[in-house]
Amino acid sequence: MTEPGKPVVYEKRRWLVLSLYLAGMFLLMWRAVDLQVISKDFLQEHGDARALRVVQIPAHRGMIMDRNGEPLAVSTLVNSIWATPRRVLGSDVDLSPLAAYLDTSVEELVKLLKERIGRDFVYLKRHVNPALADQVMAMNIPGVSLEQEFRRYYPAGEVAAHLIGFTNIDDAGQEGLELAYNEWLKSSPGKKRVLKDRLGRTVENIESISTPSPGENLALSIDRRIQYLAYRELKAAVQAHSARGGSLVMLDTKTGEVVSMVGQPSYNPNNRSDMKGEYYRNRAVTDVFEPGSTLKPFTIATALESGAYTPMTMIDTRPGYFKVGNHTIRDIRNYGVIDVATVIKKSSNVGASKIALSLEPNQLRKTLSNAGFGVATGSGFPGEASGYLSASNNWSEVGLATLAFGYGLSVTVLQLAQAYQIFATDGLMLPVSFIKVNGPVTGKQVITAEHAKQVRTMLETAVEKEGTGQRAAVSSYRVAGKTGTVHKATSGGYSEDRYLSLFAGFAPVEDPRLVMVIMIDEPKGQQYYGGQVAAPVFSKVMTGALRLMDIPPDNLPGLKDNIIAGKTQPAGSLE
Amino acid sequence: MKNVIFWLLFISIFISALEVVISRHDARKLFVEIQMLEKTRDNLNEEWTRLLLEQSTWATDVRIEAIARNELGMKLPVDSVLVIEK
Repeated sequence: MTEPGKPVVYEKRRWLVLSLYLAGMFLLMWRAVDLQVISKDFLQEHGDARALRVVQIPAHRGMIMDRNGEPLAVSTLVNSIWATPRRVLGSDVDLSPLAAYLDTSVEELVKLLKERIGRDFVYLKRHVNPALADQVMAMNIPGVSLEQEFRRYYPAGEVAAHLIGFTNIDDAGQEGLELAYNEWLKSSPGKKRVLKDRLGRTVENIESISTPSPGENLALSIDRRIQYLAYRELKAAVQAHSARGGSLVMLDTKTGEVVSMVGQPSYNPNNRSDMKGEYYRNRAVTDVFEPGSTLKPFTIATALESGAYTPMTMIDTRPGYFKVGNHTIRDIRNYGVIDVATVIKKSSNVGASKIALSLEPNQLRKTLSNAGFGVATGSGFPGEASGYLSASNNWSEVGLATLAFGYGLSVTVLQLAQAYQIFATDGLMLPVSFIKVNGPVTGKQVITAEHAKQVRTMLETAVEKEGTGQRAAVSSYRVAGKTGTVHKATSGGYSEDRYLSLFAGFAPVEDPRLVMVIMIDEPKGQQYYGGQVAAPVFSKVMTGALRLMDIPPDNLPGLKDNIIAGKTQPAGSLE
Repeated sequence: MKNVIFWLLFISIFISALEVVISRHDARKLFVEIQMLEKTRDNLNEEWTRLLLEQSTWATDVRIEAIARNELGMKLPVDSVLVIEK
C-alpha cells in the first residue's frame, strides 16, 4: 500500500516523542535548579559536614626563664593517642599489640571502647613519647589517631617547684607562678579548615580561621644557680637537724626582686603521681609564724625614731628577768646594764621590752605596720598570707612588752625579708617582685636613713664574735643579721620543746645588696637556736650568692697589705 | 559607540572572571605553602625546645658541681691564695 519515496508521517507519534523529550528536559532543568538554587544551602551544608573539618592548631604556652634566660618551665610537643571506638571495634585487627603499648589488657581496652561506643573521640593515652607514638601509628589500626599536645617540663625540678608551681594536663596553671601569671603565659590555639577524605586524612588545607598565638615568655628575677645553692643548703640543714620543714627567701635590696625562694619538703613537678597536696604549699609565702627575736631590730628602730634613744643609751636589764603584770620576761642570763646596741647583739628580751614600754604605746605598732607587717606583700603569689598584726591601739602592757621581742604577731618569711630591706636600703621599703625588674624602683621611706644605718651597725655586731649570729659570718664580706629562736605556739600556750630557728640578715654591710631570711621548722636535735641551725645556712648561701652575683668584697684586711697585683705590666718594663 | 562600550565591558567581565579563578588558585597555593613553612617552623621550634631541655639537663648545677669537684678536682680558692687586681 505504501508508496515508495513518500515518507509516512505519524503526527501523533512525533508529538509524543517530542513531548517526552521536552518533559525529560524540563525535569532535568528543574532538578538542576533544585540542586543549584533551592536546596543548595542544605546540600552544601551536608557536603561540608562530611568532608570539611575545622582542626585546632596547637600553640606553645610561654616559657618561664630565670634572670639569665635559663629555662625553668618549657612546653614541648608530645603526642596523645585517641580513637573512634566504633571504627576500632568494627575492624578485625588484633588489638593485643596496641593494648601492650598502652600498658593495659585487650579486655580492658575493648571494655573502655565499648563503654564509649557512641563517641567519635576518646583518648587512649595522653602525653606519650614520640617513639611510642610512632610504633602505635605503624600498626595502622583503623580509627586510631594521634593528636599533638604540649607537655610542660621543669628542668630545675624540685629546686624551684614551690615557686614555679605547675600546670594541669590541659596546660592551665594550677599553682605558684604558673597560676599567678597564667593569663600572660597561656596560649590560644588557632583554627583552620581542612578537607578530609573518607579515612580522615587531610587532603587539602582550605583556609585559616584564626592563627594560633603562643603565650608570652616570662623572665623571672630568680637566679637558678643561687636557687640551687639555697635549696641544697636548706635541705642539708633540714635533714641534719631532722626538722619538719624550712624556707628561705633572698631579695635584691636594689630592686626588691626575689633572687631565690626555696622550701622544704619539696616535690618533683615533672612527676606528681601520688603526691600529697601539703607538699605543694610554698611555705615562704603561705605559712605564718611569730618572728621572735628577729623582730627586735624594729623595736630598736622605733626607739631611735622616737628621739629618746641613741645606740649608746644604757638600759638596765638586771637581774635578767622582770615582771609585767603577772607575766615574767626572761633573758638567757643576766646581761647587767647594757647599751641599746648590746640589746641587739646579745638579743636581750628584757632590754627590748623595757625599751618598748618606755615608748608611746602606738609607736611600735606604727613602725611595724609601715614595714609591711599584717598586710600581704602584694607580690601576687597565689595563696599569699598577710600575717597578723593587731589593729588595736590599746595594747596591754604585756602585749606591748612581748611584741617588742616578736610575739603576738605573725609574719611570712617573705614579709620578714621585705621588712629587713629597710635596714639594708637606708630606710626604704621596696615592693617585692618575682619578675625581672628593669629601671629604678621607688620605695617608701619607713625610717630615716641615719637610723637605718645605726641599726645596720648594731646588726653587724650580732654577727661578730660573741654575737648570737656569729656562725652567719661570710669570709671577706661584712654581714649583718639577727637570729631568732621561737617557741612554737600550740593550743593552750607556747610549746616548751618545739621551736622555730630563724635568721634574717644582709650583706655586704658597706653597700647591702642581698637580704636573706631563713626559717627552719622544729629542729629536733640537740641544737635548736637560730644561731646554731639557721645562721650557718645563711653563711653558706650568702658566700655562694655574693660570688655568683659578682658583688665585690668589702672586708679584705689580710689581702690589702699582702698581695695586690697591678692589672697590667707598665709598658716600659716589658723588656 | 555604544557597541564599543558593550564589548569592552563584556571582555572585562570575562577577564575578571578568569582573574577570580586564578587568584583563588594562587591563594590556595600560598596557603599550602604557608602551612608547610609553619610546619617546618613548628618542627624546628620543637627540636629547639627539646635541645634546650637536653642542654639544661646536662647543665644542671648538681651535675656540674659533681663533675667539678669529683672528676676535675676543683675547689673554691681560700682567701690566702687570692690575688686582687686593682
